[in-house]
Amino acid sequence: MSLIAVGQIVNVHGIKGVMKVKPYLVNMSDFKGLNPLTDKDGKKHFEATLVGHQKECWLVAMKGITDRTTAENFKGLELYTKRENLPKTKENEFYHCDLVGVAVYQNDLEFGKVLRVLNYGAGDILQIKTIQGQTLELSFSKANFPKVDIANKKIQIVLPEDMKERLK
Amino acid sequence: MTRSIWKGPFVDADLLKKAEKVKASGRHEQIKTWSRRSTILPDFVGLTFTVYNGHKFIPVLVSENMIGHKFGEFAPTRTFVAHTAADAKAKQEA
Repeated sequence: MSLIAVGQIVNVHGIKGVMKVKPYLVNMSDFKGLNPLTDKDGKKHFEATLVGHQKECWLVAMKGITDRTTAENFKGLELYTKRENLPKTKENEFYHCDLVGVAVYQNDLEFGKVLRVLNYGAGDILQIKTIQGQTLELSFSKANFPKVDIANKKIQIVLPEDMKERLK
Repeated sequence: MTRSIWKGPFVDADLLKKAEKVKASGRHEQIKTWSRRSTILPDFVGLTFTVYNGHKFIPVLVSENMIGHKFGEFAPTRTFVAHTAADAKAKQEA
């Protein structure tokens, strides 16, 4: 079971135990379907209800927490959800959390690992660490990565001609 | 003061030559450039350039909505570290 950080309790709101949560989501309105929320280890479970918004934060009421003093004990806590709770992606779309750490293969030989996904406004870029220890960036395109198999955690790579020469 | 229209957009001549060469060959190749000041032309759509940011070469896959911008805009020179959104998605370009 993989957990993903979806927000952090930054403060409390009012006297009824409502918490102010800073979301780590692209779209703030995607609160639905995240329940149950957990802590980092997945031991503590929270049944959260969205009661409102305040600037860039959610106002969340947790089941069983009804007073401000109890709520204050959770300040700074990061909230996690199961990976399965995230909505399904479209074709040719992948969650960053699914891509990071995936093994990269070149002609069925291990080439490296995806280190991170970058975007500077010109499409997504995969940063790859090769087994020799070099780091390289490549556009996340069909030409460079013809086969992306998230289920088996495998990505096929076809290096551009100029990069082949550079890596020799 | 803005650039006069009669001059046309500025592109380094060697970059234009490299782009024409790669387009004609049809090879799966990236065009290495230091020319951050060059304007992105409609002819560059679909090509991948690697633009130097003073440290390394950042891949820039040119799409239609990038026309008229400069290459340097897509290869930042300073590192900005932020928390990645949990539901951040990467789209695989065709």
